Amino acid sequence: MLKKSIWKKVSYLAIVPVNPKPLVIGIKYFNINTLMGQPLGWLKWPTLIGLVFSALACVVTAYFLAQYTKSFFAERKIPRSWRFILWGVFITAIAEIGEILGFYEWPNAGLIETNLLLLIPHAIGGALIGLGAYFLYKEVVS
Amino acid sequence: MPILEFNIVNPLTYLGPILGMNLLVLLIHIPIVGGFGMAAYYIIKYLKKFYGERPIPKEWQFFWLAMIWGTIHELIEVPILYQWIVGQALLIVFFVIQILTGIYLVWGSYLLAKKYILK
Repeated sequence: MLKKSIWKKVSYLAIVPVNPKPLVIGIKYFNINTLMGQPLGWLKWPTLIGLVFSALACVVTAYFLAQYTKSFFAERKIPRSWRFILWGVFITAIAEIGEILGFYEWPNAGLIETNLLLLIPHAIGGALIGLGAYFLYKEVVS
Repeated sequence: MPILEFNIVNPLTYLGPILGMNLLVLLIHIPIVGGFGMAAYYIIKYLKKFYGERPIPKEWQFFWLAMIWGTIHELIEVPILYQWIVGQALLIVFFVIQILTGIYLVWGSYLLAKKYILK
């Protein structure tokens, strides 16, 4: 009984708990002065630069990798490994954009940003990059 | 914002009363962090196998380092999301890791493209 009540209290120790009634889109709550509901102060600009840089880096990387695979394999079929890595990086770029929205909208992040732009693309992107690298290794071994 | 603060937050109740949703969000971090970790692991195995005794080219070294830093980047996002760790120190570390990951990603892929296409 005591254990249960302690656990219940511990469960709600979140500093800025999520909105119990999640919104479909939370863009109106987008605020670069807070991250995960915490006021950023002097870290406002470094945080924004870091997050935007991450998203841009993924977009630019996807572009370079697309150029590389297109030219390197030319007429040959692009192997599964590189297709996976390329798509993985591209989808991760979408997730990094979703991350910016989610972090800055918290605790009122919308369901669309959280799921369709952040969690689902992040999981798919990560899995594709991992599998792509695995296939790359398999291709050289076999 | 504090310099550094640690909190006990239950990830299974953090996002609301629906256990399934909380569990899904928690488990979804396995492919996110694991995917980058798996990429770092298999890329170095691939490079060792492919290049053998020969030196590994710079573009591949950077690409591999990007996967290493990418894994740390994704890993650090978990305590940020669940607010297990809050504070300026964490955000500074996060910023540095983001910049390093981005630089290695872009540099590695640029050198790959440059070596095979742009010359």
